[in-house]
Amino acid sequence: MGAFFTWYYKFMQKSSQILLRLVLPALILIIWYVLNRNEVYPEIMLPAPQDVFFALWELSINGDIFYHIWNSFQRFLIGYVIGVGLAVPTGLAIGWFRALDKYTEVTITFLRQLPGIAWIPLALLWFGIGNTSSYFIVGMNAFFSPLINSIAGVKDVDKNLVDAARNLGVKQNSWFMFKEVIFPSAVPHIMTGMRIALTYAWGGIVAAEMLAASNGLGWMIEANRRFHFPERVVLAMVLIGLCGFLIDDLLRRIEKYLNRWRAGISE
Amino acid sequence: MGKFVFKLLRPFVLPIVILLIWQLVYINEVFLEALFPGPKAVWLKFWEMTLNGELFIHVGVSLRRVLLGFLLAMALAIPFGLILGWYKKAEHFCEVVIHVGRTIPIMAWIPLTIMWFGMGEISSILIIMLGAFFPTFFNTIAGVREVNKNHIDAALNLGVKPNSWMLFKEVVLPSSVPLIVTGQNISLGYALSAIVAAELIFKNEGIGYLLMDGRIQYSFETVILMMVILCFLGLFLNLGIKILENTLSPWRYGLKIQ
Amino acid sequence: MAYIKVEGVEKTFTKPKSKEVVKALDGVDAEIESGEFVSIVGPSGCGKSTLLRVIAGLDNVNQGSVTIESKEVDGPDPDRGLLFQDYALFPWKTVEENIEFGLKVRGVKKNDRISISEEFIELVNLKGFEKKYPHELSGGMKQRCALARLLANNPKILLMDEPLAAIDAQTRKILQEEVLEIWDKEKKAGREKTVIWVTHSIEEAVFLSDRVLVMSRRPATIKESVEIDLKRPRTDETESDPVFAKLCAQLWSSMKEEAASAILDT
Repeated sequence: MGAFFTWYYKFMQKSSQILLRLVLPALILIIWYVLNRNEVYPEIMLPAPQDVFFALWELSINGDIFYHIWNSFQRFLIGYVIGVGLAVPTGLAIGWFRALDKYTEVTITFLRQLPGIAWIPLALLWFGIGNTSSYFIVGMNAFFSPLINSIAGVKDVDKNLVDAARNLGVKQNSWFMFKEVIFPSAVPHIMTGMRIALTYAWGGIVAAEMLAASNGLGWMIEANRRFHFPERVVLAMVLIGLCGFLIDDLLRRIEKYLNRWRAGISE
Repeated sequence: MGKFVFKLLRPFVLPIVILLIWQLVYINEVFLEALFPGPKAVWLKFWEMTLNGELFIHVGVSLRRVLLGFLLAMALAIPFGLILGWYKKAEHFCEVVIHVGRTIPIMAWIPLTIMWFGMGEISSILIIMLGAFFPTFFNTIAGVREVNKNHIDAALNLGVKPNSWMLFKEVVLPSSVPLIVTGQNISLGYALSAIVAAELIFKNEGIGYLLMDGRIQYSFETVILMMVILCFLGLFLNLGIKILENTLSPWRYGLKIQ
Repeated sequence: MAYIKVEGVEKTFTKPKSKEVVKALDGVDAEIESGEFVSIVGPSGCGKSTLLRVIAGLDNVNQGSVTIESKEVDGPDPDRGLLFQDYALFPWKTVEENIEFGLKVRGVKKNDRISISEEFIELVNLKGFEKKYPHELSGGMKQRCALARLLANNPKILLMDEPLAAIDAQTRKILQEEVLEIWDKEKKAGREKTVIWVTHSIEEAVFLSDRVLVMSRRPATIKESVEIDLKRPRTDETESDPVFAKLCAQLWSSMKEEAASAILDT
């Protein structure tokens, strides 16, 4: 009997927590619906919430939505891989060869200030509208975070570990030292950089598609605004957010798996 | 002595080499002129725009918007973050909406903002606010949450009432400053990104406008010049934050910074 | 001829942040025989660790020399195993992999590595924990793992840098006895080791060693060398021996003034 009450109590606690979280969204949805119903704002500005669902339905049926999502995702992935693929080895090299670091530090600090979006006009001039532009823009967006984090990962290796390795016969600047001590130690930093790059890259693909593509979720947002389909605009926004969230979540899980030797996993 | 001078100049070797290569490529491959203005052209453009005041106007406009948007965002993000960090119930309440707001990239908000507020000044400021809000907001919440429990216990032991204003003001708040400042650094980056994005699309003056205009007019020099200016702007604003950080929390090395 | 000879060693270094120049060692002389267990005690921050690192070859001397069997020390070598105060275990490697590491460096094949490391895992009482990661181990276990990592390379010299400082008092006593046991076992297996043990605990030094060197405060020299005339094997009963207390008192009086003035060192 007592067990039941404990369970019941915990259940109520849990559900009240969940309910609390749902109050505000529900409220917003209701207000949104009411505002739309009573035509407080013109349809052009505020589509009906149900219209967004219908749009989702409609575009799913005719496959359009999947076409756009796939294109976005594909370009995003390629650009991300290029960006990260260039950034990490470069970062590791810069961190490892101190001379390189001294030469590049100022240049990197300078260039990283540039917002990813600022590369779009240049990309347009060089590659025009199309996939290459997207790859370039996403790549630039995804470049600096892993670069800087990789550099830090190498530079911040615990000196004691390096000394312990030297004591056990490893030569200070050898490949063995890098492979067995420096690199494993730097992995958490690299992964953090890659995760941050993900957010920037996803933002990058949206920006790139709004201005330099003819399909994809980003294009969908901007085009539908011009074509006056506000419900599709909202739909695209929600999907963009959702996809971004899922990708980030996936990377966190991978990160957690790779970091299982760490005590007290960081966020 | 010579060694010292070398050390000082070393960081500039790379940029100079790049500029030289750039200039050489440009001179030798004239057909590349379409893709690649020489650094001299960019430099000339810089002078042209400075002398006719254009640079001043547009940079000024962008700077004004960034600062305004950034400050407004801070004014919202920090108090909001502190409250939500302190009262767990409040955080649960807003959680879903916040996550939705966070996962949508700034650019994606632009069409909606255009639909609601048009392409004017207000839209620009709003976009910047949106961009700058979230990093500081989340870092503020984290700052409140991750106060060293030992510090709190020490305060309680010395007579401070739990959950009191005094506890908040004397322990929690100073403790969270490092994280808040880190958040501001990131927010600044987003704010800069946002202003370029907004001006790019709205085309209502500013660096972003010139950036896009350069591309439309096929004036590479302008595009590259704007990019360089953005870099300097970023450095300048970051320096500002660093100074702020040093004045507000010189003791921060005693705490662990993320 | 002394096995390990430290002659007139001086070591200065600059503090990275304040650029302050600090002289850690100022003419350190010491002679250690092969197979001896020597402890070094001294106030905090006096340079005990620095001396050990110099003997290990991880840091260079500014003046003087360190010779092992008449050959000067020139860089680190697994033959002079250093046990760190915070273990310095590789967190991403399991216990097994950590212990094998020195063997891996020398190119020993995987199968041989496993059988060799098994032997040492058992020696330090870590059987059953081979696949654990360092963060899953207690302080005492980490230290055992770090010790096994060194022993697997059969070093002639063991340099211990306050290895039990971060461990609770009870585990410490147990580990002290274990260390002596292991030292003895290795000697009987034909792998005799010379040990230099740095500690801030006089009782520990007296309990473990054949001889105790007292180091002065910074800039350091060796102030005194005290023979420990207690029977081996050392056990709980050793501590009740009146000679034990006398030796501790003698060492403390030698160290007390150094310690008191060293409190103000940064």
